[in-house]
Amino acid sequence: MVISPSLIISSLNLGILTILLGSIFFFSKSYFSKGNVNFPLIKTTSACLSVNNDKEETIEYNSGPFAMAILKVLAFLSVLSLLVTCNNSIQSINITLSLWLSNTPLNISLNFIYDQYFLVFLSVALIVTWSIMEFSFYYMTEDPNSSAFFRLLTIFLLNMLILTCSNSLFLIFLGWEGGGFLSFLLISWWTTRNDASSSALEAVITNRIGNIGLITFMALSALNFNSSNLTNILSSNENLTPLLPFLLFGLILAAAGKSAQFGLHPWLPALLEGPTPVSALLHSSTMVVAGVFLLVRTSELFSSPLITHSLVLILGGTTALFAASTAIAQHDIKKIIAYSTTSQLGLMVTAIGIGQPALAFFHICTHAFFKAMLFLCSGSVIHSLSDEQDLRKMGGLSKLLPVTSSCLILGSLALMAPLLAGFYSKDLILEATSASVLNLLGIVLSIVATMLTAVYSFRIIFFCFSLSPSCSSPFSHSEENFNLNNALLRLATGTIASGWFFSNLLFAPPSFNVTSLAKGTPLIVPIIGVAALFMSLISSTSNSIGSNAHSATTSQWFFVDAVHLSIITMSLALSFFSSRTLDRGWQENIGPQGIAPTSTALSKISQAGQIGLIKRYILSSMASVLVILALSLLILS
Amino acid sequence: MRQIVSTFLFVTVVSGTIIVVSSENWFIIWVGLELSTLALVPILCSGFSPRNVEADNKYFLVQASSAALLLNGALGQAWLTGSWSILDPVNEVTSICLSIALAFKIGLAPVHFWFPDVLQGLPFFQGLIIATWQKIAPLILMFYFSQLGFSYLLITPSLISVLIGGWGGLNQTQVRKILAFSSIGNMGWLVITSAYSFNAAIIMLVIYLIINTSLFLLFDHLKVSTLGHLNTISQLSPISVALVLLVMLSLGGLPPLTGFILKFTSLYFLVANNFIILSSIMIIGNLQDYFFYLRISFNTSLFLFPQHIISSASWRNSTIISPLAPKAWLSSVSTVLSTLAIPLTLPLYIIT
Repeated sequence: MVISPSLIISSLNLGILTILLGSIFFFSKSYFSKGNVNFPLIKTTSACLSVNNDKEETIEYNSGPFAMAILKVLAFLSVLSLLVTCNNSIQSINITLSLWLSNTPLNISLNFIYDQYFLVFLSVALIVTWSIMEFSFYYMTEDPNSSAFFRLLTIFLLNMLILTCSNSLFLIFLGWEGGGFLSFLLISWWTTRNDASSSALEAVITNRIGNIGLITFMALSALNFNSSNLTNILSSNENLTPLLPFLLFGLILAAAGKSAQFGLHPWLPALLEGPTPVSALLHSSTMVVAGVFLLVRTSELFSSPLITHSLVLILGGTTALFAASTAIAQHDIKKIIAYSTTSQLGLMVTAIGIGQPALAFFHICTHAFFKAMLFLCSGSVIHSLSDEQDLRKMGGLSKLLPVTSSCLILGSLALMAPLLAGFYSKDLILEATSASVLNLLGIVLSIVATMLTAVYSFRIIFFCFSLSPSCSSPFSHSEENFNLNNALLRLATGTIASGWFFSNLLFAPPSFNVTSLAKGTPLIVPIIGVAALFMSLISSTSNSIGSNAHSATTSQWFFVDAVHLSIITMSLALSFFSSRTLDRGWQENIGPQGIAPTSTALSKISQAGQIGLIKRYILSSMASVLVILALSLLILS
Repeated sequence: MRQIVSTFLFVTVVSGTIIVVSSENWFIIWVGLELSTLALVPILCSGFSPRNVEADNKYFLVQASSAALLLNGALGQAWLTGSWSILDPVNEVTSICLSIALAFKIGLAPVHFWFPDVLQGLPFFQGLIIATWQKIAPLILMFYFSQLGFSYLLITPSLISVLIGGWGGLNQTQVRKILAFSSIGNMGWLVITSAYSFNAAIIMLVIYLIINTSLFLLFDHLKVSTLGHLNTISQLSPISVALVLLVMLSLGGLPPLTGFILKFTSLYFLVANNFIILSSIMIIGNLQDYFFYLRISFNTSLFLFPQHIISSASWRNSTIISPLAPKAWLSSVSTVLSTLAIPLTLPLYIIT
């Protein structure tokens, strides 16, 4: 081959990043004639920058269609580069563009790594974002500032791609921070809503905790390995340094903050205050997996100490179980999906914990498709039912929204039915868990979480489709919009095909020796869960609300209340003591109350010397010079 | 005073300084210093008000005594080494004599008492000569002097003068006294820096002179002698509000302005030579300077004192000076240089 495939891949990917960066700055120009009745919403709500004199047609500038088109092209390009990798077994391509900060002890460079992880993630992220962008063009038509929204989504995607493709820790941090910051902007999109602003704050504060972990890791690796280059850090032979536990702690904290693991999870459901496309893009498919992705990238570091493995395993298992148990009793359809995301993130972390980062990554990729689709479906449902989010008020949606409802069923089934995307990866993870020698607790937690997955998935299906319509005005024409249907159907195709495609063509899934019981567990457990759900529904449709267990799970095991209360009480107590001793104590005496009188007194003393008599001036000058001379002779001799 | 006389006097002042700067003979240096002092004395009392004459007398007495001290040191030096050259190593006693004399001339801390008093008694323009031009010759000598050997006798007075400059200005309401104390503080900075780098001290001197010149010229133009009068600037000449504000902040060393390089160069060399604790003391002294600079800036631009209707209409009496008059030209150029010249100073910084 004249042109080496690595050259094709690197130029394609650099081109994709550059085009994405450039596309932020462009609008698309659309012409609308006044007589056209197909776009009444667009015309009334978006900014018409110029109106022609004859009033026949208006020109409007919106970055939405342009962003959609660009993402479409880029998605095809990325699939192309993925196919090139399929044919040629390329391990990884390392590109150093330039030194970023030179002349420092630690060379910081613009260093990219194009390996299989990134290439697959790139295609998945671009396809998913393309669909979400298309969906949000439908969803955000009534927003007066929708152009900025599309642009923010594009910038977010760019940050995410920088995070995944960079090899330098500083670039990773750039993408990491950028993602966090844009999630803050996007969650608080409807800034006038109090809940949205406070959720955005919660998210950004929790992300800071994760950042502490990442900065710890960066600082310690700069100190320890004298490099900001991830490849150098991973391949360095000084693994058994005393700082290694702290490095790993930093990584786990970073991942737990970003990927909403147990303890730092409450921000993920709170994020639902943002527009639904944001939930679909950031909080299901891309941003929240950044933490897991970081763990995947650095999984070589986890090789030596088994205790870290167990820690990660238990963390992931706890998250999965906690989130799944919370999800079964939520009433908000988006909250169910959000907790399901948290639960799946827990499963990914479990996969890291048993030492199978490839499986975690596989789950990231398949999860992105069906979870984004589920969010888009919920957005469609909410939009069609005039902003009704309560699951109990939905019903009979299959007649109202045939495409959406079938996609909703498909997405819910994807986690438990064989041959759909989620099952491929989930089955592998559960199999690997039962084959691993690590910890019984991890297996139990993940199996129970899987059972609960079936419960909440079926709960959505049951409430949405089996009952008769119970919403106030069952009227909708939204499924006539191509932007909605195309996006949903594309993601549905991905949900059906991606598992098969990835497992057969890209990843070589490891095989495990497991008993037939363990092999059958992922199939049997959901059935048990569904059966349990139906039994409980039959027996307790009337009084389930009254039971204490139900209220506990509905209120997320009171986690948020307890933690917020204790943190606030503690910090109030501490701040009382600190203000008592510092602000109203010696700090005040020395600082504000001390400096001014001292300066005034000194100033007055020095002013007293200015008496206006030249004899005294010269005399005191000579006297003070003599004093200084005498003192310096005394001290220096 | 007749123009030909004043021109002659000015030329003598300038030539005296040039003689001092360009010679390496202690005797010639003494001659140059005396020349410029004696020529300056008639210039200073050109207004001939009692306060003016008093200040002039004080100036003359101080300069004469310091010149005597200098000549004393120079004679001792010539007696001991048999040469008048300033490049010869100095004896303990002569170095003490010479540095005290120079400290007197520039108004370094323990011998600074005369400086605010003299400056207060003079109009702004004559004050400008004392505060800027007359500092050049002794300061350059001081820089040479501190190159000869590290002397605690220069470092200690400089530190004291940074602090005294701060404290002295805090309780002042007279603009000229405030400027005098700020000058005392800045002399401390210059002399301390000269102990470590001659070039840096020269650069600081140039920048300081430009800033100080523009400040004196501005106040000379606006005729504001106390903090209470600063308020009328906004009526007299609105654009001067911005100028006074910027030049004041520049003198304090606010980063985008030229004065920042003054403090930066100095602190760079001090910290590079492990002068950390004492340089933090200097920064504390400079903070006090900054306090009264800010007081001037606030009074100029932000506060509106209650005032009589006549004074608020005082813009009617303000003289409009032609934009091409030498003073206007000089003040505008020096103001621009003293606020916006930081790109120009960067090459200077690299040279050091």
